[in-house]
This record gives sequence, C-alpha cells and structure tokens, in this order.
Amino acid sequence: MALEKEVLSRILTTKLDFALKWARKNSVWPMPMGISCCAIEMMAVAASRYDMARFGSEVLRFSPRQADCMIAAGTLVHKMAPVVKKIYEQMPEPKWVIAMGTCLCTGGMFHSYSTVQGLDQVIPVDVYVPGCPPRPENLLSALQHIQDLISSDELPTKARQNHEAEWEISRLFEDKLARVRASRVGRVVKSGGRHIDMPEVYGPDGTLRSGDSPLGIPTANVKGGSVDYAAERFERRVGAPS
Amino acid sequence: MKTGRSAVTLTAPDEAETVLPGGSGLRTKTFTLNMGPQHPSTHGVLRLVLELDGEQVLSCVPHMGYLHRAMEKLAEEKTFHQFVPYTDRMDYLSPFHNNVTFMLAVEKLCGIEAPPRAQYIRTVGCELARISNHLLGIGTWALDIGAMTVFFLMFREREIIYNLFEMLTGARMMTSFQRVGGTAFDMTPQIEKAIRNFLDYMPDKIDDYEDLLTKNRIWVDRTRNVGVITAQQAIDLSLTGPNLRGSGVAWDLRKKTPYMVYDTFDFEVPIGKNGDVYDRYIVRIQEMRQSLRIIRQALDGMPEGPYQIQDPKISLPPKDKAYGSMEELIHHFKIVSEGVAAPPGEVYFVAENPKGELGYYIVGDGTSHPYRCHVRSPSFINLRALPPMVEGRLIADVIAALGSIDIVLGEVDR
Repeated sequence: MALEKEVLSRILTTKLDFALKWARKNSVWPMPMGISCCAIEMMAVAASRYDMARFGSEVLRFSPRQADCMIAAGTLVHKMAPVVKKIYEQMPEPKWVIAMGTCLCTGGMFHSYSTVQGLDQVIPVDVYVPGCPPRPENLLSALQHIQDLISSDELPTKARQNHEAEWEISRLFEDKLARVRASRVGRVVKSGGRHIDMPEVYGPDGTLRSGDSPLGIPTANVKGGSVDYAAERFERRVGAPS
Repeated sequence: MKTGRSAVTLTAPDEAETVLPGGSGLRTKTFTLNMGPQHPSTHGVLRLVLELDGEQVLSCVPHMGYLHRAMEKLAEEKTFHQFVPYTDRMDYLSPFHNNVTFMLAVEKLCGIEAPPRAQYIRTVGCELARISNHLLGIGTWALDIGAMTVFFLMFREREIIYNLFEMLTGARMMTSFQRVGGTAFDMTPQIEKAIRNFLDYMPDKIDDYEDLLTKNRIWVDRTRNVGVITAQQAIDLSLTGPNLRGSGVAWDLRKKTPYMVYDTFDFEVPIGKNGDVYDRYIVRIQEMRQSLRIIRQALDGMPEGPYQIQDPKISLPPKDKAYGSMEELIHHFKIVSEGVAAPPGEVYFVAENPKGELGYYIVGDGTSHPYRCHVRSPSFINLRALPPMVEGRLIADVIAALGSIDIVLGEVDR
C-alpha cells in the first residue's frame, strides 16, 4: 500500500513537473536589460520581422519583478554594473540570463578602464550570444537554448550555485574566447544561429514572395541573399581562387 | 548640468515644505524621483533625478556616465582604420554616417579627397542612415507616448534599410564601410536597383506614419506646446540638427558649409515654427522625405570610376598585383600592419549627422594613430536642452520631451 502510494505520487509529481516546465518554457517573459548597441537588435527581435511572439516571449517586462529571463544587451561599464546586479537580484526565482553581444561575453572591443570584461563577472550567465551585435536569429536561438534549459531536468539555480561546476555545453561554437568562458559557465550560441524559418513575406503589390523580402531585396537566409553578394564582392576584389 | 541643482541639493528637507494655495493651510513636501538608469523611456541608460511637487517637475538633473566606454582614449591606440568600428558604436542608430564623418575628418587631416564615386556612395549611405535613424527615433518616441503601431510599422521599414546596408557593406547595423580615401567596396547595379525600389516604396509608408500621428488627437495633445525651446534659447544652448531646426532656425551644414557633394543636390531644409515637441516631429518626418530626394539624385548622378584613391600609400593594391609584384606586396603589408600615416597637425571637421552636428577634432603626430581625438557629439549637447524643456511642466511631458531630443547614450557618454 505504502509502495503503491509512493509510486503514484511519484508519477503524478513527474507529470506536473513536465506540465509546469512546458508552460514555463513557452511563456518566458524577458526583462530587456538594454544597455547599448545590441539593444537595437533586441528591439528588432521584438518587432515585426523577427517577432519574438512566435516563441511565446513577446511580453517584455521592464519591471524585473515580473520577468524570468534577463536579456542583457550592450556594454557593461563599472558605473552600470551595480544597477544590473540589483535588477538581477530583484527578479524572482527561477530566472535565467542571456548575455547578448561580445561585450557581455568577454568585454569585446572595449578593453578600457571603464568597461567590465564580461557580464559573468557580475551575475551568472546561462547563454552567451557572441557577435557585435549578434544577428536577431542568434538571439532567437539563445531564447531556444533557454527553453531547452527550462525543459531539461537540471534546475538552473543549482547549476548557477557552483559556477565552476560541469554544465552542459553546446560544442557548436566558433569564438575561441567565448569557448574559454563557456567551459566555465554556460552555453554559447554558435555564429549564424539555428535555422529559423522566416515568415512569408509579401511584396509592395501584395503578392507573396516566398523566401524573399519586399522589394526584391533578398534576405541573408536565402540562397542568393546578401551573404552571397558579399561573397561575390569578395571574389571580385580578391580574385577567384585559381 | 547646473540648472535646477540648487533645488535638489541645497534646500533642507524642512524648508522644502510649502503651503498649498487655496487657504487650506495644508503643508506639502517636494518629492525626489529617480528615473533610470534602467527605464524603457530613457532610451538607454540615462538617469534623470526629478524634483517633483505633486505631478509638476521643479527641476530635472540628468546623470550620465552609465555607458562611458572611453572611446576617445581608445582612439589614441588605434590606427584610423581600426577606430572606424568604434565610431559605429558611438551613435549606433546611424553608424554609416558616423563612419563617414570620421573618415572625412581624417581625410581633411591627410589633405586628400575621396574620388567622386566614393563621395556619391557615401551620400547615399548617409541619407539611408538618416532615414533609419529618424524611423527609430520617432518609433520609440511614439511607443513611449503610447502609439505602439507606429513602432512596428517603422521597424518594418528599418529592416529593409538594414537589408540594403547588408548588401552594400556586408553588415546589418555596424557598417564600418569607410576607408581612408574611399569606401571599402563598390556599389553594384543590384544594390542600386534595390535602393531605387526602396525609394519608390518609402513615400507611401511615410504617408502612413503621418496618417497615424500628424493629426492624431492624442499625439497632438501630448506634443503641441510641450517642451518649447525658442530660437534664441536653441542657439544659446548650442542645439543642432532637427532640434535646432524645430525651433525655426534654418541651419543645416549640408547647405551652409557643403561637404562631400551636397552642394550639387536640390533639397530643402524643413524648419518648425514654435520649437515644441510636435515641430521637432514634423521636421524629422520632412527630413526623411528630403533624404529620399537626395538619394534619388545621388543615384542618378553617380559617376563611374574608382571608389578609392588610386594611391598605393593610401589604399590597398588589387589582390592580383599584391600577390604578383614585390612593390605592391610591400605597400599592402605597410598599410595592413602600420595603417595610413597622417601628417602632423590638428583638424576639426563637423558634419550634419541625423542627430545634429557631429564633430571630430583630431591631432595627428605623423603616425597612423591620432595623438588626440575629441568628439563633439550632438546628443551630449542636445541633452542640455532637456531641463529647460521640462521644468515647470508635468512629469508625463518629460517622456515626450526626452523622446523629441532624440539622444543616444552611446554618443552622450562615448
């Protein structure tokens, strides 16, 4: 009897846990800690084309008490660091942190007397997004990493409690400095991000241009897009490989 | 920031009590409100300390430095080319224009001028940057006042401009497109066609924004006669850009001291009448239309020819020559490893950025590094106009006025 009770209770607990995680993962309320340049790309993610609402995160909460995922974007300087720390402490548990931009991963190009060399010197970080600024796809990818973390069994608080502890690390990244940091703490979004299907786009005349942005300007995701233009330009300048 | 400081610091708490008018004899105290540095309407990490009497603002003291990244100091250890990415991140709403202004200052120091095609490409990029800057400026400002639709519509067009920049420069946002004596790449016919498509597409969209805002009762009530700066005040505060022109002063460096090829284009300088928040909005909307005119003329008049100075000491040699000839290889190596050396001397160059007059004061000591690089950033000086705008007004007007001066904190703190 006692055993049966225990088994039942265990099954019930697991399922509730699963449901909770599912709900939590699909309604991450971000706290946009926009400090500088990357904040503009963060706004782009929230705006029309990239539309964070597709991942259940359109409710940007500027009050830390109502948010569960801080998206820190920009360069952290010493004067701002206590503010960010305080805001992080005001967020209720469980909470996650995305460090957007190379400045918050490693200090980046601002190796100066006033700049904090990475957000993880102030607060624990769950996902690093290198790039200066990262493309919106990369931030969306980071958000999906956060969703993975939420649905995984490991509680983020437990992992954060010991910074040096082993932590599941995505091995698909390129930035060497970020890899060094990632081996200590969190995950890194690989450059380019995950493949995300772009929504259908309509041209100025109202016709559907699948995989093509309005005005016939190809997007970077599409074959023949601006990345290809860059390659073509590079080839023209450097000369085709002989 | 001197204005209003006495009201905050010098008054003892008990002296701040005032008797309410109306003969009720009730006593009231002023209230100090800290707005920022984390506040969605401060457009970054600005901190305003407001002294309030009820809902009325008695004094407003901006505190800065939450984004001080030591750009000017970093410039001293970077070559001119290496500093270009830093100019991107100063005014990160119009990086292309910042690159151009810095490069024009360096070219003035070196005593060289980029070939005409480069000038035209730069003009096109600068005006695209102006449109994209005003789109974000008005979009977030309307969002703060409560018009969310405008923000989404404007970001839709901003994404198109981002695509154009990506085609032209390889980067969505931080273009870093300028080199000493020209641009990094040429403008291809595909890009030109895409920009022309954009020129046909955009005027209707500006009409859409005007439909949403210009005669919108809420928008007009929130902005008309709010944050008034008279023409004389604007000049005294050394305001520049749309903030100055909103007060009715027709001062635009593109007209007054034409740089690049602006003197060849036909465009108007929109000005306001009352110098209130609404006029500054109208000026920005009209500037976008004028920018479209300039871009069209620049594309029509774009000359053929090189996009970089044909001087081996300044621009990189073609790759095939660098691989094949000893002399070109040496030039290539010297430019890449040492940078382009500028003669000793000092130079100040100022250009009409979307936010106002951006000036670079560069002291050269004969090397490829600036000995000193000072930036006269428009946002920093325009922010000075906020306290006179809001003192004596309601606290809700602070948001409208702050949006209207269109600051970016990367440039305020540098």
